[in-house]
Amino acid sequence: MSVLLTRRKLITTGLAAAAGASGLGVAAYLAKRYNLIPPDHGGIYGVGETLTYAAHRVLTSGHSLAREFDRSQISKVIPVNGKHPEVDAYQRLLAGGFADWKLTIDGLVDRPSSFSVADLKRFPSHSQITHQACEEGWSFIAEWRGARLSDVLHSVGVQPQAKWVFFFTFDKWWDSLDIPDALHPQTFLAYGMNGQEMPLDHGAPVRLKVARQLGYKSLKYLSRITVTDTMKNIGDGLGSGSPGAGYSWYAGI
Amino acid sequence: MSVTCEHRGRGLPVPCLAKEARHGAPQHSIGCDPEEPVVMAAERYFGPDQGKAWVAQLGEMVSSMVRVTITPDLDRPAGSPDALSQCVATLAISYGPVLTSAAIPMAEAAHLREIPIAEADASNPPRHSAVVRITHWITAVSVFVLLLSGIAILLAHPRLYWGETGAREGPSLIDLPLPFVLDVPIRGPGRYLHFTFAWVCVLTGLFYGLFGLFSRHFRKHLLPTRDSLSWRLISRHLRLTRPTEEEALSYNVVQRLSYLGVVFVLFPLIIWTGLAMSPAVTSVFSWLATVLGGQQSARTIHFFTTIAIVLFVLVHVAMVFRAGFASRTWPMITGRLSARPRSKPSHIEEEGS
Repeated sequence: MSVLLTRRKLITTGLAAAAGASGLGVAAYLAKRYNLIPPDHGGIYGVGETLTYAAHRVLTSGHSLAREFDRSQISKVIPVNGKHPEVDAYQRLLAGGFADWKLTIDGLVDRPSSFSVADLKRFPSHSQITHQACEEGWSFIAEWRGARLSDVLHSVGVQPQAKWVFFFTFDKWWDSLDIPDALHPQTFLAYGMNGQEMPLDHGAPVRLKVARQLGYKSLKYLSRITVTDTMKNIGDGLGSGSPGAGYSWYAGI
Repeated sequence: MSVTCEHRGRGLPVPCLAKEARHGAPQHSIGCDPEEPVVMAAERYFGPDQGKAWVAQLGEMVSSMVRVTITPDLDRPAGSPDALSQCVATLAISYGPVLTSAAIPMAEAAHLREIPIAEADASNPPRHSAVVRITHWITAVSVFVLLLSGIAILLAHPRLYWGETGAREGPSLIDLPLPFVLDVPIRGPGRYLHFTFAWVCVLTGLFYGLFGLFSRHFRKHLLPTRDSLSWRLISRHLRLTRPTEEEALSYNVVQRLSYLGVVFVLFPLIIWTGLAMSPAVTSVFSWLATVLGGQQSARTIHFFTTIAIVLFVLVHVAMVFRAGFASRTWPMITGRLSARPRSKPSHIEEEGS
């Protein structure tokens, strides 16, 4: 009887293990096929991070819009998080009133280009009244004005194999978005805030605004955009400076 | 073979006996007629003196006596061990070790002396199912890690707000008496850790929830019986009146209500408020945040739900210590009441003591 039980146990355990392994295999294949794996999927936190990213991508696949608010809900007090960069290149542009500022877009695009603030303002101007929520816990609501990143990217012709859009800033930071967030209608190259030009400490002259992610994805002081199909050769390959500092690449929660 | 149980006191069905015993409201205790088969069986099984002592002890333990009749099934080979152990197991699950211990001599009396009885199992019935035990400990570990990583996240901004927004420069709801600590190395990884274990906790909770529904665990073990929902009983348990061994075999009404509150109120609320802070999740389900009054309200409720869970854990652990750390923790690890398998007559003495 015990032999029988052992054999039965062995068979069921084997079958369960095989089913589990093939299930994982199928899940991994599907996740890869549908771009559900974030760059920081390795290491001990990788599984949870991948689950979060994949779950959010499936959940928001209908291009859901971040919550927008009434003009009366715009925060009276706007916290400032960090001062504008002190690097010479930025200071020179600031001294010239950003007249010489240019945003370069290169990589997997048909027509690599650079855009001045005036160039960006020639794109259809959009506004959104949305949260800027910091992972620390504080938040504010502001009206953001700018060009849709999708409009600007379409104008330079993003090639079909493109998977990531990288952003570099004057304060030496870098980050990236996947295509769904880069082409999302609430992802702005924002040049205005609360009816004014983008204030200095909020990212002048142009910052990124990613409404469906936490504040740290909305990079300030943009200098260059690169469209790629790989993360390998940029920084430590984790898609952003954040994972190296202990913050997830995806910040939808 | 069939097993029937018949209440001997007032002709009530046996489940009533189990209830009475559980709530420790003894109605009356009747002595046993020496001519009764149960007494004869016991004397035959344990020997005359031991048998009498056993019957006396059993009479003290349960509020009224039960007749357990085991009828051999003539269609089957006499004493099919499967059938017997099935009956014993049914009794064990339904009525606890007291009745099971009665079933064994009855089985013996039914001329089934040759049958090996899985005695350790029968007299030491399962207390917690494997699913309950595994999910309990995984949840315990993940709650601990979520608490630590949550503290690391909170320390970046230990101020709470109500509504949609809030910042250091504006008014707050509560300023927690904690320092603003930004430069701790765990702060960033704290978020990674928090979400990793949030998944562990949520997936474990989902599994437990489905199990609880389909196995009737919630209905059988957590839903208070109607007649236990009286202020008299609730206040008796709140005053921590020490339960009888028989009562301790099942959760009392205060335990049941607390566990239901944790499983169906606190955990859903902390998951809800966690998701309500996500700009991506609320882009699909905006009501998650708006119903609560806003994203910062969700954060504040998340904090106070944490406090409630921590208080529950503290009271829970204190009660485990009060009830006997080993005797309550061991069943949650092994599923069985006692560390060692009990030998035949001795378990009866122990249980009566």
